[in-house]
Amino acid sequence: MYKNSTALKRGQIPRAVSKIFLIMKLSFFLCLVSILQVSASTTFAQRISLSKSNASLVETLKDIHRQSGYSVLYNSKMLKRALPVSVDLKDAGLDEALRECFRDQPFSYVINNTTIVVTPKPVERKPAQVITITGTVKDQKGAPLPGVTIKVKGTNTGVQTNIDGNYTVTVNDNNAVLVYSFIGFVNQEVTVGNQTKIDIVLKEQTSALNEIVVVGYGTQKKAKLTGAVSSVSGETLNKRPIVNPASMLEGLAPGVQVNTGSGEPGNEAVSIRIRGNSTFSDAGSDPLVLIDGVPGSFSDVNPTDIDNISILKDAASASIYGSRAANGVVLVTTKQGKAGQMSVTYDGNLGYSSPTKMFKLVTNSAQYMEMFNQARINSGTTDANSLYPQDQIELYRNATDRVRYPNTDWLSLIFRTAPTQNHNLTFTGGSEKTTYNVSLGYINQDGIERGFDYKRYNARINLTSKINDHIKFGTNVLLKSGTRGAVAGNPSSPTQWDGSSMDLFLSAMSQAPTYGPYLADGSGRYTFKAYDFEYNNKNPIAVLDQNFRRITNDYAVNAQGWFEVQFTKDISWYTKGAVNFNMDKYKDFKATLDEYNFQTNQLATSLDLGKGLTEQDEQTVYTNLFSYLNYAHNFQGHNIKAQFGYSIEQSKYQYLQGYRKNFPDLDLQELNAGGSDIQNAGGTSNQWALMSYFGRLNYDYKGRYLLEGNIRDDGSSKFAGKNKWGVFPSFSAGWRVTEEPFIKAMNLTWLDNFKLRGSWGQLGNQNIVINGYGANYPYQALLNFTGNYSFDNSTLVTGVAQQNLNNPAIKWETTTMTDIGLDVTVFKNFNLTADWYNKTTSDILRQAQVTAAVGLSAPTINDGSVNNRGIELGISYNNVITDGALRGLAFNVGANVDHNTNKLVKFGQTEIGDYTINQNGLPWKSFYMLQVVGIFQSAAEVANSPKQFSDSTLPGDLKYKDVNGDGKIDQNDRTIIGGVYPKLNYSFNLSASFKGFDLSAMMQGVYGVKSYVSGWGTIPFVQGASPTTDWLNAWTPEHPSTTMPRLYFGQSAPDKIGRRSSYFLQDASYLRLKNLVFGYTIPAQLTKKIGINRLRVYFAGDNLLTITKFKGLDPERYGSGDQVQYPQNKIYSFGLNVSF
Amino acid sequence: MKNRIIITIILITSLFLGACKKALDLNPNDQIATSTFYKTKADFDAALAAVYASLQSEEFSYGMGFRDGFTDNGYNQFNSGAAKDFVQGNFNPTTQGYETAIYNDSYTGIARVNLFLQNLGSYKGADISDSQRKVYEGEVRFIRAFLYFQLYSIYGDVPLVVQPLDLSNQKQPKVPAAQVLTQITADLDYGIANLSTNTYYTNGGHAAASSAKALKARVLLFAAYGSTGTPDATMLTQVRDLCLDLMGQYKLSTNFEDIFRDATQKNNTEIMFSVNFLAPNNTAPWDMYYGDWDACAPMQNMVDAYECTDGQPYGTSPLTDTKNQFNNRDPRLRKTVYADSVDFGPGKVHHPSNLRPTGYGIIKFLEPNNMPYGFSTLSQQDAVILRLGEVMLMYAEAQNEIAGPDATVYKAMADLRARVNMPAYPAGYTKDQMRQRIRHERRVELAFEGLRHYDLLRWHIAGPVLNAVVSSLINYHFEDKFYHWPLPQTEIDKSGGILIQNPDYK
Repeated sequence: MYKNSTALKRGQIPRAVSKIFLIMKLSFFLCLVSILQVSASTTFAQRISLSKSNASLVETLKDIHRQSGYSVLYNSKMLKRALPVSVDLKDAGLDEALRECFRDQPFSYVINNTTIVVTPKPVERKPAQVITITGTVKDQKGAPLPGVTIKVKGTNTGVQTNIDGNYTVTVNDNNAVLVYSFIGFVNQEVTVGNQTKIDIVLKEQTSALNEIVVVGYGTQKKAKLTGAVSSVSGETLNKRPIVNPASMLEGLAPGVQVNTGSGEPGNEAVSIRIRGNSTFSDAGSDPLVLIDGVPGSFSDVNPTDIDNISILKDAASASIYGSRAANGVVLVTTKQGKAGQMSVTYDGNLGYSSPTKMFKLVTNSAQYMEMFNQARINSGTTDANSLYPQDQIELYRNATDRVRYPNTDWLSLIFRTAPTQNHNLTFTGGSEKTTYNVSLGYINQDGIERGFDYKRYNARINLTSKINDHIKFGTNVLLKSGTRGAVAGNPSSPTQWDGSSMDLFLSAMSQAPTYGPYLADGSGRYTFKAYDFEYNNKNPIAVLDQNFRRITNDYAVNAQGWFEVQFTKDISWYTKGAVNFNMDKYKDFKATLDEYNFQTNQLATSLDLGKGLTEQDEQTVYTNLFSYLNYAHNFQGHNIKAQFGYSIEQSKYQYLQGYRKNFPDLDLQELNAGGSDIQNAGGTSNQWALMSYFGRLNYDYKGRYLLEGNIRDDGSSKFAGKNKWGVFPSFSAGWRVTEEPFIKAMNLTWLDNFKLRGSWGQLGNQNIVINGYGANYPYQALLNFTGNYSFDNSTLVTGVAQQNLNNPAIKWETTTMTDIGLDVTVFKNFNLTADWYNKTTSDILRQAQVTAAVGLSAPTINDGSVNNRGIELGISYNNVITDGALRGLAFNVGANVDHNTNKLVKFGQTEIGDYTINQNGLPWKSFYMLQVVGIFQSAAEVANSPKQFSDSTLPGDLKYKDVNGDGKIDQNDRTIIGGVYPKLNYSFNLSASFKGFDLSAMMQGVYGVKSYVSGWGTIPFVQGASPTTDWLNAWTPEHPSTTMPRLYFGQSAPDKIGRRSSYFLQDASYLRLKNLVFGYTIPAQLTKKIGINRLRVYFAGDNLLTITKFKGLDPERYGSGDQVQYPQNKIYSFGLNVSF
Repeated sequence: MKNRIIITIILITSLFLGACKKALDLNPNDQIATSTFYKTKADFDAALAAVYASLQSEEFSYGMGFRDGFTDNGYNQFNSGAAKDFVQGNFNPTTQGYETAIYNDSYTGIARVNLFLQNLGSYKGADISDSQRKVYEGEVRFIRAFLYFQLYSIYGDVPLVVQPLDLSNQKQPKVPAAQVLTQITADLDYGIANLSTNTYYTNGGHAAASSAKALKARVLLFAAYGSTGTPDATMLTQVRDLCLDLMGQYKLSTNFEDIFRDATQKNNTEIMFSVNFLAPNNTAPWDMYYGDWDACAPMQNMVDAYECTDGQPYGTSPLTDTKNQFNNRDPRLRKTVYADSVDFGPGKVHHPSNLRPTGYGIIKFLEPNNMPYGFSTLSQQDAVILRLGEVMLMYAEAQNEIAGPDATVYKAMADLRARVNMPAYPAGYTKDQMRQRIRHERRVELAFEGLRHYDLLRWHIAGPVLNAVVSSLINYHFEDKFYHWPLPQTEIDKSGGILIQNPDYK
C-alpha cells in the first residue's frame, strides 16, 4: 500500500487510504498546518543520527528533516498528543529512525517521495482482514432454520440462513460478534474468535409473550393484549388432511365451537360458533370472517396459504368491526414472501376416506320379509295380499340363485372407500425490496357416497415491495375454481346443505333386500320392487348410472392492493382496496326413466324427479376500501398508539336462471338443445352498502398498565333515517402484575408472567333474513310480483301484492359483552389462559310475533334478548429436552375446555315447535316432548297406567310419563328436556418431535349434548327401509325387551310409536381422535445428494377413533332432524413435504 | 416531508368526501314501493290477480280431495293437513296441518282484499269508472266471503278483520260466529248486487253475480243447521230461492268428467266458480298427488257407497258383482275412483309409484293428456269450487226440508242422476227417505270435492258416521268438540290473552 501511494502534491488520493487522507485533507486546508519547507532539490545524506531523551516529537522530527532533507508534514494539533521521544541512533537509515521515533506514538507516518507525512495510528490503516464464517442454524429439535438473520454486531452487515439453515458471513476481525435472531426464538450472540465454522442451536422463545398477534386493522404484542384473542398458526391448522379450512379450526381454540355437519365434499356445512349462539334471529350466529382484512369466504382459501388465524372473541377485540362483529371475528392472514433465495415447496397427500360409521341393516331377504310381515300385522294390516307369502320367504331363504333371489345390501352399493388427493406448490422468496409468495393448489376429493365429489384449483400471489424506506405496497390475489358434483336434486332449504346427498342416501335405505338394482335378466333395466305391496323410494343406482347430476361451479377472485407510508417514526398510513368477485353457477339435469318389477320384468312405473335442465348463474361483486392513520409514540415509559380510519363497502348480488323441460337428446344438456315449449327464466339483483369510521387508542405505562379503547361508527343501507348509523364502543384494560417493581423485587423465578385483563364493549349484527333470504330493504313497504293468475285460462296476469309488513324503525341488533381474563406463564414453559364472559344480545332482529289475522308476513323488528355466559380455559406446556438420552426431544401438550350457558332472557310469547320450545329462562330451542319411561311389559301394566291419547296401547309399546299427573297422557304431558347445547367442549393436543420423527395428535369432544333423530335408520320400514339390526331384538311376548319396542311399519305405523318423544332423543356426546400425524424427515445429508433440501414423509389420519353412546350414524352432525345425513369421513392419508 | 403529509391529508379528506353518504340510500330492483304503486287501473288489475291467486293454496283448491281425508271418504297416507290426526281424534291446538293452514291462508287472502279495498278507496284516477269500481269491490268481497266462510264453518268464532292491520292493532279478539256470518252475507249481497249478471263461464273467469249467489246458498245452507243439525226454515227458503234462480241460468255439463278435465272446463255451462291454473308457469300438482302418490285414497266404504246401475245399493242389488266390483256400478264410480292403476284406455295407463294403501286412488281430477304423472307433470286443471250439480242438490235438500219430497225435488235429483244414466228415484219417498237419498247422492256426486266435511258438520252426524268407520289402517275417533276446531295455539300465544281459545280446547 505504501508503494502505491502517490504524491500528495499531485492531489491524488490513493483509494485504499482515502478515508485517512480525507481527514488529512481537512487538516490541510481547515486546520492549522505547519510545513517544514525545504528546497526539494537539496540533497542530503540519508543517514540519521539522533540522541534524544524525553524530547518532543516535533523537535525530533525537525532534526530528521535537517539531516535527511525530507520535508515533514504534520497536523500540529494532532501532535499535541505526542509522547516524549527517547532515541539513540547512529547512522541509522531514515526508516529506522522514524520507526524508533514513532514506536510508541499514537501516530504513524508515510513517506511520499521526499515528504514524511505524520498520520494517525495505523490501526485503521491496517488492511481489512476478511474472515469467512459458515455454519448451520438449527432449532433444539435439530431441524434447520431457514430465514434466521445473522448480523455483525455494531454494523449493518447481515445475512440470512437459506432453506437448510446454512449461512456464510464475512467479518473483518476476530473480535466481531455475530447476532443470530429469528422470530419466536431467543437471540444468540457469538464472538468469532478463531472459528470459521459456527453451528448454532437457537432456543425457542419459551414465553409466547413476544408473539405478535393479528388484531383488527393491525397487530399487537401478545403481552400487551387486553382482549380475548385466540390465535392459531397455519402449521397447526394444516395438520389435518381435510379440505375445508373452517373445519380445521375444530378443537384448536377455547370458546370457538366448530361443527362439521357433513362429510360431503365441498358442502361440509361447517358452523363456527364463538361463545355460543348469541341470537335467535334469523341473522344467525356466524362470525365475521376476514381474509387479509377483507370479508370473504373461508372455504375459498387454500389452507396451505394460511399463515395464521386470529379469533377475536370479546367485544374489546371485535368492536372495531362494529355492526357485523356480534358473533366474533375470525381474521385469516395469508403467507407473505421472505427475502432470500427462492424456495420451492411441494406439499401433497393422498388419502382414503370411508364413513366413520354406517348403519347395520337387515340385509337377509328372508329375515326382512318376516320382520316386514310382523310389522305390517302389528300395524293392523290384515290383508294377506299385503304380506309376503310364506312360500316366497322360503324361496329366498333356501335359494341358491342369488341373482334371482338376492340379499341386496343397498348401502354397500352407494357407499365406498374414496380417494382424495391434495397437491400444493409454493414459491417464496425475494430481495430485500420485494418479496413474493406464490402458490398453486389442487384438490380432488371423491365422496364416500357415490355421485358426490369436489375438485378445486387455487392460486395465490402475494407480493410486497418497498419503494423506499418510507413506502411499501403490495397485492394479495386469490383465484379459485371449484367444481362440486352432486346428484340432481332440490336443495331442501337455503340454510341447509343441498338435500340431494341425503335424498340419495335415504333412497338407498328405502329398498328391500329382495331385489337388486337391475333386473335379473341381464338387460340392465332398472328395478322397482320385487312385490307390488313393497314400499320403496326411487332406485338410487338408476339415478347414479344415468348421471342425473347437479354440477356446481364456484369461482372466486379476491384481489387486494395496499400501500403503507411511514411518514415519520411515529406516523404511518395504511390503505387497502379490495374487490371480491364470486360466481356460482349450477346446472341440474334430470330425465324420466322407466323402472320394472324385479319378479315379472313388467314396467312398474316411470321415475320422475322433475324433468329438464335448470341452469343458474349467481354473482356477487363486493368492493371494500379502507384507510387508516396510525400514530405511535413512546416517552418515559408511556407508550401511546392511536389509530383512526375509514371504510366503505358495497356489495351487489345478482342471479339469472333458465329452465327448459323437454330434451329430445339426453346427451345434449344445454338449454338451447331443449324444446322451447316449456321454459322459464328468472333473475334479480340487490345490493347493500356500509360506510364506517373507526378508531383505536392504546396506552400503556412500561408494559405494566394497559388500556385500550375502540370505537366504530357504521352507516348501513339496510336501515333508514336516524337508525342508519350505529356506534359501537369498547374499553379494555390489563395489568401485568409481573411487571410491577415490587413483584420483580420478590424475584419469583418461577413466575414469568401474570396478567389480568378486563373488557367491556358493544357489537352489532345487521344481518336481516326474511323468509330464509337476506333482506336488504327491510324498512321499506314493498310489493312483490306474486300471485299470478289466469282468469281466462289462456293468459297469465301478473299479480302484485304486499306480502310483508315493513318496519321503518328497524335498526341493529346489539350485543354487549364483558370479559375478564387471566394469562399466566410459570416455569417458563407452562401457559394458562382463562376467560369468563357475559354476553347479552338485545334488540334482536327477529320476526315479530305477528298474529295470522294480519295476513302479511311478520316484519323483522328489534325485540328480545339472549344471554350467553361461560368460561374458557386453555393450558399448554412445551419443552425441549437438552441433555440425556432424549436430548433434542421437543414436545408440546395442551388442552382447551369451555363451557357456555345459553338463555333466552326476553323472548316474548312462548313458541312451541315440533319438538322444541322457546321460552324465557331456557336455552334457545330447548327440547320439548313426551318423556318415555320405558316399554309396557304386560297388559296389566297398560291397564294400570294412564290412558295414552286415544291409542290402543299394547304391551311392547312406549310408555309415556304422565308429567302433569292428570291421569292421562296427552300433549300437555310434553316436558322440557335439557341437552340442546353441550355442557362442555374440550380438546387435547400433543405434539412431539425427536431425531427427525414427529408426532402429533388431537382429540376433541363435546359432552352433555343430545340430538333428536328420527326417520330412516331410526324407525323401521320408513318407505320400506330395512330395519337396523337392533330391531332383531324388538319386543315380542316371547322376548320382551326393555329397550326396543314392538315392531311397527314405517309411515303407516300408529302414532303411539312415532310421537315426538325422548325415545328419539339420543346422547350425542363424543370424544374422538380427530387427528393423528406421524412424520419423518429424512436427514438432509441424504436428500441433499438428490438436490432436495428437506424431505418429510408423513401419515395423517382423521376421525380415526370415536367414543360415543350415539346410535346410528356419527354423533357429529348437522343437528337434530333426520338420522340419515351424509356421513363423516374417516381418512387415512399419506403425504410428502419437499423443499428444493 | 411536510408537503407529503399535506398532500396525503388532502387525499384522505377527498376520499371521505368522495364517498358521499348517498351510497347508503339503496332501493330494491325487483320490488315496488307501495307508495309508488296504484297509479293506474292496470295496477289494480295486477293486485286483483293476486287476490284471486290467494285461493290457489292447497286447502282451497287442489287439496280439496285431502279435505275428504277428514271424513269417511278417504285415507291420507301422508297425513296431509293432519287428516290422520283429526280422524283419530288426536286433534288439539298444536296439531297444525290444515288447522293452521286454513286459518293462516284465509287471513292472508283477507289481507289482500282489505289492502285492495283500501287502495281502491283512496284512488282518484278517472280511468276506473264507478261501475268498474263496484265490480272490483264485488269481486274481492266475494273472495273475502269465501275465505270467511272457511273460518266460520270450521272454527266458528274468529277475529273479524275488514281493514288492513299493522303492528299496533294486530292483536284482535274473536267475534261471535253470527257476526262473521253477517259479514259474509253482506259481502255476498254486495257481489250479487254489483257483479256481472253474465254466467260465470261467459264472464272471463271473474266472479259473477251468480257465483256469489251459489256461494251464498252454500253458506246459508250450512248456517241453517246451526249447532243442532235441525235446519232453520227461513234460511232454507233463501237457499231454495237462490238455487232456483241459478238452476234457471246454468246447465249441467253433458259429461260428468268434463267438469274436471282441463280441455272441457273452458266454457263449461255447469261451472259457477273455479280457481284457475295455467301451465307451464302456474300449475297445480293434481296429477302427481292423486295419480302418482295416491295422496288421498278412497276407502272401501266410499267405494261401496256407489249404487249399482239399477239404483239399488251395492250388495243388495242383483247386479252386484263381487268378483269385479266396478261392474254394473253407478258410472261415477269409475269416473271418481281407480284401482291398481290409472287407466284411461290403451296408451293412457299410469302405474302410481306409491303404494295404494286402500287399494284405490282418485281418478276424478286427473287429466289423461298429462301422462305420465310425476314431478314434471304440469297440471293446469282448474279447481271447481261451485257448480250446478251442487246447487241442484242444495235445492233438493232445502226444498225437501221445507216442503217435503215434492215433484221439484224429484226432478232435480232425476236430472242430476240422468246425466250419468242413473235411474230416477221411485215415487213415494217420505221426507226422511228423500233426505237420506239426497245426502247419499251428495256424497257420491261431490266425492272428494271437499264438501263432505262441511256436510258432516252441518248435519251434525260426524260423530255417528265417523265413529262407525271400520278401517284396518286407522282407528277413527270423533268427539263432539271437533265440530269446532281449536284455534291454532300459536295464535292464542301471540295475541297475549286477547284471542281466547275455543272453550273445548282450553
